[in-house]
Amino acid sequence: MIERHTFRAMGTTVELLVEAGGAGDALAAGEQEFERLEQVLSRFRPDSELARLNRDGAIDGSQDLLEVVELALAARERTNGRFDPTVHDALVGAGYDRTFDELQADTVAAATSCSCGGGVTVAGRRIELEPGFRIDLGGIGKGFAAERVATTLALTGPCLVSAGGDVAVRGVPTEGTWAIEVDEHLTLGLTRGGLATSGRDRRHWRRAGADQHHLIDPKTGRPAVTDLLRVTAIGRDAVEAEVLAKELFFAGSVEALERDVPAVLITADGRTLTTGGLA
Amino acid sequence: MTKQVARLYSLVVGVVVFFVAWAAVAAHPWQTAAAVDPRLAALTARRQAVQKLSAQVKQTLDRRFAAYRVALAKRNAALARLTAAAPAASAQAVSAQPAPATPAAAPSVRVVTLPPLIITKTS
Repeated sequence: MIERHTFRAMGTTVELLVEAGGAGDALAAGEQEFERLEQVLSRFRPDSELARLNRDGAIDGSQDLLEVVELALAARERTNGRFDPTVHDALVGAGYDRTFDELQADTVAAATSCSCGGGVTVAGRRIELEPGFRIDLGGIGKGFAAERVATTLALTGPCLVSAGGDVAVRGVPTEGTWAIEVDEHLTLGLTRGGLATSGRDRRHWRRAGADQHHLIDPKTGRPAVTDLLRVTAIGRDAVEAEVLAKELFFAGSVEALERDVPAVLITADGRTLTTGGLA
Repeated sequence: MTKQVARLYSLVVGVVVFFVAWAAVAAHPWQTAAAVDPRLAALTARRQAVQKLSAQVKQTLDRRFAAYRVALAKRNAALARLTAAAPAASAQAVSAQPAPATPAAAPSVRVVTLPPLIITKTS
């Protein structure tokens, strides 16, 4: 029997599923871990480690912050800059300057663009930002947290952790796979790895009447213009899937289909395309 | 003779008084106990706190690992029973093994027609 625990964290709904009896303590511990990591990684909490790094330009980071920053920098390297943690100011410029729940639907002030690609150096425990740049870890933090909690929850039994659209699994349930609905007419069965969904269909708003969303293209410093509405990607873990989903979203449908990695693409005109052997 | 004895006594007393005075001065009785370096005190306190924390972490890990081993033994016993009872049931029992703590090297995904356990949304 699968036990389920749902709660709010990191600005989204988190679901913990574990196939085990009496898993209440493990599920509660999972929720606490999400809260702890949010306290490290949130850019909206003034006393978080990330907020202090952005405010001071440098910090002796905790192991968690160091790990996520290094993952983000590795992803920037791997994607040739398509994924970039230094999009903070561009996000703020687009109007995403407070938690999404507190965001106004529209304002008179127009959105502005900001340059990305700022320098971030990590030496030992020291993290330093190039002056004029700040970082946002929202594009990778939920996947990291999902993986972290899944690792702990796996001690109790086969489990799935979903942070919004970012999913980590460990083990296989009795049904033989973790069935995840990614579109109204498409359900994927995941037995290993991670899955993540990124898109402009949920976190969007308007500034001076112009549509804005939270997926900033680092090349322009503005919300990405693409023919895709949403991308669900599969990777070796939730972090890899999360980065891949954004990379494919920025690439657009033509390049994403050419890449032929396991993914589901929802186009702006409503088509559902699958790649990487998912047809 | 009496005068010489008196001089000798005086000399001896003088020497004794000299050494007693020397010892008294060498003992620095006017100094208070040496002040403890505050940095050393802080380091000592920190070391004690870390040692205490380390013991607590070890205790927690030991407790969790013991619980894990009990769960593992139960699952292995269940697997052995199922395997002995019906070979066909063994495949299902394999899925009930403890989940690996780290993700596998390559993802495994396919389209299914099962009722979904969760519905993904844009993160």
